[in-house]
Amino acid sequence: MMSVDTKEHVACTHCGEPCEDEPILEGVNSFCCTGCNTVYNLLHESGLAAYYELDENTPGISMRKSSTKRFEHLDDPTVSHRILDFTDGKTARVTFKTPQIHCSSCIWLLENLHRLNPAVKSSEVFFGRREAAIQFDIKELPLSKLAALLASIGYEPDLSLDKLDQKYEAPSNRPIYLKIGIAGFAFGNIMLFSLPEYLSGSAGLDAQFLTLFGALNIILALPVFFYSALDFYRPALTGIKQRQWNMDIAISIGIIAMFGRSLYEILSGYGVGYMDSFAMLVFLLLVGRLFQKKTYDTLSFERDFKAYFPLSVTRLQGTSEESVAATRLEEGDTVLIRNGELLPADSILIDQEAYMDFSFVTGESEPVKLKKGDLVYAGGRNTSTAVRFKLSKAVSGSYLTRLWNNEEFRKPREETLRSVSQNFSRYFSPIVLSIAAIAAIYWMPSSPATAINAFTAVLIIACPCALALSAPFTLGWSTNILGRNKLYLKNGETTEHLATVDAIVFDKTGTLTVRDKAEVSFIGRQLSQHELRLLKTLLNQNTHPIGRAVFHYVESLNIPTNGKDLSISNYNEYPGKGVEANIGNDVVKAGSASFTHIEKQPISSKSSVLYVSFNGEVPGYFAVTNRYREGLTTLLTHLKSRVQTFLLSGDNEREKENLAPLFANESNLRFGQSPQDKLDFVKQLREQGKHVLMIGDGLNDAGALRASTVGVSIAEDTSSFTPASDVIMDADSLRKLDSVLDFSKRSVRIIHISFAISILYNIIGLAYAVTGTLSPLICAIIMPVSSISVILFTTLATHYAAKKRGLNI
Amino acid sequence: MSVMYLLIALSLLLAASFLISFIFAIRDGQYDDKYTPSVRILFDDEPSGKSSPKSTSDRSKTKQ
Repeated sequence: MMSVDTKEHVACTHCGEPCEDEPILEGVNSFCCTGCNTVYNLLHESGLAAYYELDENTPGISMRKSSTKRFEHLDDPTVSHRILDFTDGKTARVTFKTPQIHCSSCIWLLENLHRLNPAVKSSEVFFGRREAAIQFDIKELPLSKLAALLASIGYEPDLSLDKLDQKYEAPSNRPIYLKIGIAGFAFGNIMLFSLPEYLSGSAGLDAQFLTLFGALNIILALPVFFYSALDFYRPALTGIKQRQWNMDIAISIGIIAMFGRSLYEILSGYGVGYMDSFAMLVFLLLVGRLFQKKTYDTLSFERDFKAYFPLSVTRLQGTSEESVAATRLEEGDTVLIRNGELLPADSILIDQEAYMDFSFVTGESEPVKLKKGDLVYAGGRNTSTAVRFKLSKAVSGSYLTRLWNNEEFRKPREETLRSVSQNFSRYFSPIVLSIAAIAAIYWMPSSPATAINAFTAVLIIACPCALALSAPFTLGWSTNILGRNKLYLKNGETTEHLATVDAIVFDKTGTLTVRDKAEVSFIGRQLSQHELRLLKTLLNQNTHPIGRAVFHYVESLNIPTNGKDLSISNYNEYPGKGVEANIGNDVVKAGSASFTHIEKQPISSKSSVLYVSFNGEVPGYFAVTNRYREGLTTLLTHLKSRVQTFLLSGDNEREKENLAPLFANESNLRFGQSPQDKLDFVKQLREQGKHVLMIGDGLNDAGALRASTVGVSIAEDTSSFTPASDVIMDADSLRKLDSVLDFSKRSVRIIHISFAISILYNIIGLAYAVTGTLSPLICAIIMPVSSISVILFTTLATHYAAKKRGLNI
Repeated sequence: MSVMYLLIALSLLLAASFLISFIFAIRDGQYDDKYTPSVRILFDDEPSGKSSPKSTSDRSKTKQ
C-alpha cells in the first residue's frame, strides 16, 4: 500500500467537516472553503455568533456542497406569483423549503434573519416540514435577493420545477384533532351523567335527574354523531356503492344502532341508553385513526421528474445571459449548462465536446462523451466545463418526461391488495347482521319488543371497536418502528403489502453500489509526487470509469502543483487497453497488464485494475473496487433462499461476475435495461401473480417503482430527490431489509391474533345480547376492556417482534 | 338538591370552556408544528452576550 503523507485533518470552524484541501486560516479559526469563511464572518459581523454555541453538534452547513445559482428568474411575475404565499406589492410572505435545516442553531439563525437584512420583517421556522416562512419588504428586497441571502448562509431554498405547477399545501391534521377533541369532551361528560344511574342500584335515580341527564346526554352526543363520526360514514357509503363490505360499514352500523336505540330509550323514558359507550367508541376509533395516520412531513412520496429538474436555466440571447424558468424554454432556445447543472430538455450540443453524467436517468455509471451536434436527452448532469446546447424539444416533450405519460402513471394506483381488515369485514358484517336477524325472528312471535331489543343489542355489542383498533394500532406501531430504522412508509397499509412480497427486484447503480464512490488503492512501490502529477494530467482526459476513479483518488491526495501545468502531447486512447501520452519529457501509460508490458499478477477478481508505466517502468497498479453497500452479501444470500431476487441495471455487464453468485441464477441479472425495460419486467412479474418489491434510486427506476407492489426508493440523504414510491429508505438500512420483511409478516400475524381476541369479547357480549337483556353497564364495561386489551397486546407484540429481529425500537 | 343543577351547569360550563380553548388552539395552528416552539422558547434574545457591538438590530438593544 502506498503511504500518503496525510496532514492532520483540521475541522472547519463553520461546518465542522475536515478540511481536505489547504485550510483557510484566519486567527485561530480554520475553514474548509471560502464559502464557510464568508458565512462565519457575516454571522460575526451581524452579531449572530451565538449560532455556533446553540447546538453541540455541527450547526454549520458546508458551503462546498452548495453551488452558486442565480435566482433572477424568481422576480419574473409568473414565477413569483406561484412561489409567494401572498403579496400586496409592499410586503410579501413566502414559504421556502430548506432541507438543510437540521438543528436548533438553524432555527435560531433563520428566525433572526431580520438582523442580517432589515428588509426581512419576520421569519418563522417549521422544523418538522423543514420550512421557513418569511415576511419581507418586497420593494427593498426582491425575492431573488432573499433567496440569494438564504443561499449565502447555507440554506439554499429548494426550488424545483414542480413548484411552478401547483402550490404546495401542507397536509393538515387539524380536522382530526378537532373531531377527537369534541368526541373526548362529549365522552367524558356523558360518562359523568351516566355514572349516577349505574351506581344508584335498584332504587333508581330521581325522575327529575333522569330526565335532565338524558337530555344533556342527547345534546352532548349530537355533535359526536353528526361531526366526529363523519370519517366513518363516508368510507362506509363508498363501500356500499362499490358493493364491498368494509370495516367502516360495520362501525357505522354499530354507531347508528347505538345512537338510535339510545335516543329512543331516553325519549320514551324506557331506559338511559348507551350514549357513554357510543361517545367512547367514536373517541377510541378516532384515536386509532390518528395513530395510524403518522406521516413524514419532510418526505415526499409523490415526486416526479419535475422535482428533479431545476426551476431555472441560463438562456443565451446573442451574447447576453438571462435566467429563465425552465417551463418557459422553447424549442430552438440556446442554453448554457455549467458544471454540475442539469440539462432540462432534449437538446443538441453546440460546443465541441462535453461530458455528461446520466447515471441518475439511465443507471449507466460512465459519464458520456458528447461531440458537437449530438442529440442529448434531458436529465444529464454536466461534468465538464460550461457548454452550450440548443433545445430540440420543450421540457414537457422530452424523452424523460414521456415516461410519465406511460399508462402506469396516468391511472391512479389501484389498491393492489385487499387489506387484512377488509378481508375480514367481508365476513364479519354479514354474520353479525344474520345473528341479529335470527335473534329478532326467534323473539318475534312471543314478544316483538324483545325482538327489537335483541336485534339492536346484537348490532351494538358486535360493533367492532376492538376489531377496528387492531389494525390501526399494529400498523401504526410498525410504521413507527420502521421509521426508527430509517425506513419511512407512505402509509400504514404498506406494512401489509411488505408482508406479501415474494420477489425482489434491485437496481444496481446507487442501490447496491454507493453512487460516485469507488475504493481505490495502489499496490506497488511508493509513487513520487512528480509521478502522481503526471498520472493526474494523463487521466484528466480520460472518461473510462476506472480512469475517473483513479483520477479522483489522485486528485484527493492534493499534490502541490508547482504552479505550472504540465504540457501533454501525443495523447492516445486505445479502447479496451489503456491510454498513453507524452507529458513533459516523460512517456506515461495507464491501462491493462499487457498494455503496460507486464505479466498479469493474480489479483482478487472483485476489483478492476489499472497498471501504470512511467518511461517503460511499471511501479505497480491501482485496484479499483466498486463500493457495494455494507452487509450486501449476507443480505442477498439470505433473501435468495426465501424469495426470488432479480437485478435490473441500466449499466453494462462489467460487474456481472461479482454479482452473479449472489443471485439464484444468471438469468436473474439483466444489464443495459432502459427505464421502459424495467417497467415492463416488473409488470411481467406482476402478471405472473408475484408480489414485487422494487428497490431503486434514480429516475430510470421511477416506472418500475410505480408498477411494483411496493416501490422502495433508496437515498443517502432522505431530503434529496427520491422518485415517487411507497417507501423511502435510508441507504444504511438496506442491510436490514431481510428483518424488515420478516417483521412486516409478523405484524400481519399480530393483526390476526388481535382479531381473534376481540372476537372472543364479541362472543361474550353476544351471549347477553341475543337474550335481549344487554344492560348499558355491561356494554360500558366490555367496550373499554376489549379495546384496551387489544391496544396493549398490539403494542407489546409489535415491540417484541421488532426486538427479536434486531430492529431498533 | 337544587344546588345540583347549579353544579351541573358550572361543570358543563367549565368543560365547555376547555373545549373552546382547545378548538381555539387548533385553529391557531398550535398543533401544526410540535417541535420548533419547544426549541424556540429556549433562545434568549441574545444567547451568548458575546455578539459584536456592530449589531444594529433593535431587538438586541431592547433585550431584558
